[in-house]
Amino acid sequence: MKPIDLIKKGIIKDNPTFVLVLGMCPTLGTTTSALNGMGMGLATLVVLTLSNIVISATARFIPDKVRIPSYIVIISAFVTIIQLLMQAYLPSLYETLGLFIPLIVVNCIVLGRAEAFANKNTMLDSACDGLGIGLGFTLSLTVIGLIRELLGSGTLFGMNLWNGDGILVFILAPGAFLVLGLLMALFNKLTQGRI
Amino acid sequence: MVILLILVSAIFVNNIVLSQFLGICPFLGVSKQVNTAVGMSLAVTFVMALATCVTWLLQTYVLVPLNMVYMQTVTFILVIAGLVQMVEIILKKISPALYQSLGIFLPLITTNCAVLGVALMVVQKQFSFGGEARMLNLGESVVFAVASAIGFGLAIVLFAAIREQLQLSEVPKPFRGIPIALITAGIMALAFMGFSGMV
Amino acid sequence: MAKLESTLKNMLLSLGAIALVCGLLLAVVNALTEKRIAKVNADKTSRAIAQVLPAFAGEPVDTLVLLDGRQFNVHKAMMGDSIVGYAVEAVSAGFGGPINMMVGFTSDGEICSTAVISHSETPGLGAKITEEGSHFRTQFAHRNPAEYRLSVTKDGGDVDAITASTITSRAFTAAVRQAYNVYLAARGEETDAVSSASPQVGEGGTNEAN
Repeated sequence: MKPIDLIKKGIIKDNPTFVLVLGMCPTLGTTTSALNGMGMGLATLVVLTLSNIVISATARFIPDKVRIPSYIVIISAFVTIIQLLMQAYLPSLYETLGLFIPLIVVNCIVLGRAEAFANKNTMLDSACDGLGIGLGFTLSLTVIGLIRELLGSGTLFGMNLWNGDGILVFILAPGAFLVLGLLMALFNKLTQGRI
Repeated sequence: MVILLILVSAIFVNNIVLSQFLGICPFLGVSKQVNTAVGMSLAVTFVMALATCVTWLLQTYVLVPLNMVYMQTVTFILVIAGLVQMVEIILKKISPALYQSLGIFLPLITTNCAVLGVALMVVQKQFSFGGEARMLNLGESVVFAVASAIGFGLAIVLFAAIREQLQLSEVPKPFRGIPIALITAGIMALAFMGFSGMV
Repeated sequence: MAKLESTLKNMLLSLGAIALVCGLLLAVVNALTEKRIAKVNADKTSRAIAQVLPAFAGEPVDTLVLLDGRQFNVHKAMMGDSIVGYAVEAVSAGFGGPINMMVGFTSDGEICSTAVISHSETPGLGAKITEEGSHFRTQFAHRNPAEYRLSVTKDGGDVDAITASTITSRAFTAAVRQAYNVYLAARGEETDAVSSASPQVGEGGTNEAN
């Protein structure tokens, strides 16, 4: 497959949120606004791409039996680097996302791609795969965040669209489940039989 | 009193699944039947309590004195992965019956973000009791871990019971599977919001 | 190229090597970002101080005040020789977790302004305490807790709570009250120190300007 196709595949056909249903915790937990969702998606994208590249490069030096712990160490190292950089340069976003940044380590998407793709493909392909899946994740989170923010607080990327409050429940916990459930049903309806 | 506060707050008010969004993957994945849901929550309780105990000690007596808090995520996840392996081996040896019922859930727990989440929470976050805010000590941390796991168990078992019923009903095609499960979880989360303000 | 075999030696070597490389990498990144992170945190405190006090000159003087067995940070800001005010750090139990606040007092005991340093309240509900310029936040300004009752109206005080966020409003108010007590204690300590040197300053007069 050509690199560009690998990237496209991650956005629609293998969309981590709507098709693979992976990484649900950050998807629900950080999408109280479009910006937060986008920030979380981008942080995951960076970790995913870097760990995919490194794992693809080192896979043949790692004996099979210790591959999962090795991948976990590599992934958590990248997560910590992102964490430190965000603390230093994007402190307010870091505070909003909080616990969900270190929890990228246990995001099934990252370990899943390492195991299913990166350890048996070239570095370039793995990088593209990481980029595609990461973009798909970022896009989904941004859309969910956008809808929740619009309905819940009546703002769009922080801009006030009308005066007064939104329908509060959408930025609270139940709203996360409801919006994601409805969006997923819509996605199923639109892509029925085509994926 | 403090123990009671931790219990009520972690089980009902700040339910780890329905209000903190941790451990959603097993919540959606292993909740088709009540039996497996119970098994999963028992395994999680065990690992969570053990992992929190070990990581708390590690944080207080190794990482902080050595000024290596930046290794937190790496060491914690390794501890959890190691513990899960160990529990698996020990369980296989001493209680094959228990292993039969819990064994299949153990590998899934390593990537259950609730376990790492709770371990990180007790060393990073201040908790508040009646006007006072402070970090938890070892005993309270373990209580918090057990309470969180009970909260996880409560949510997943209730959810599995609903999903068992749901199988018998006619669900519009696009909603089948995960979407209807998420909407159900949303309504459950609404119900759990009723507990807010209790503590 | 074939994969390395899973012998014990290979497993230990590869895992050890990976752990070592990652550990070293993290140590380097940590060393590079440490100063910046410390600065970000220090900036946050000094921004909060600047936000809750009128203009002052130079660096505020930081002291630790002990009250009811707990330590509180108090920052005294000066302009020339006169005291501009005191910024007190306080914390209370909110709805979702602790609310960390900075409360500024002028030297005559009036609340100057408040700032929320960190909180984990519900977005859209309790999180409204961070909205500068909202009625809830401005109602504290230029009040003297000596005559202004620092508790929400539901509890018989003078503070209007945020709609549907009574617990958060109570916690916020409690933090301001706590900050005021710390402020009194801080002033008390100073007056004690001064009064032993110059007896004409009133006995423990916590509210008068000196």
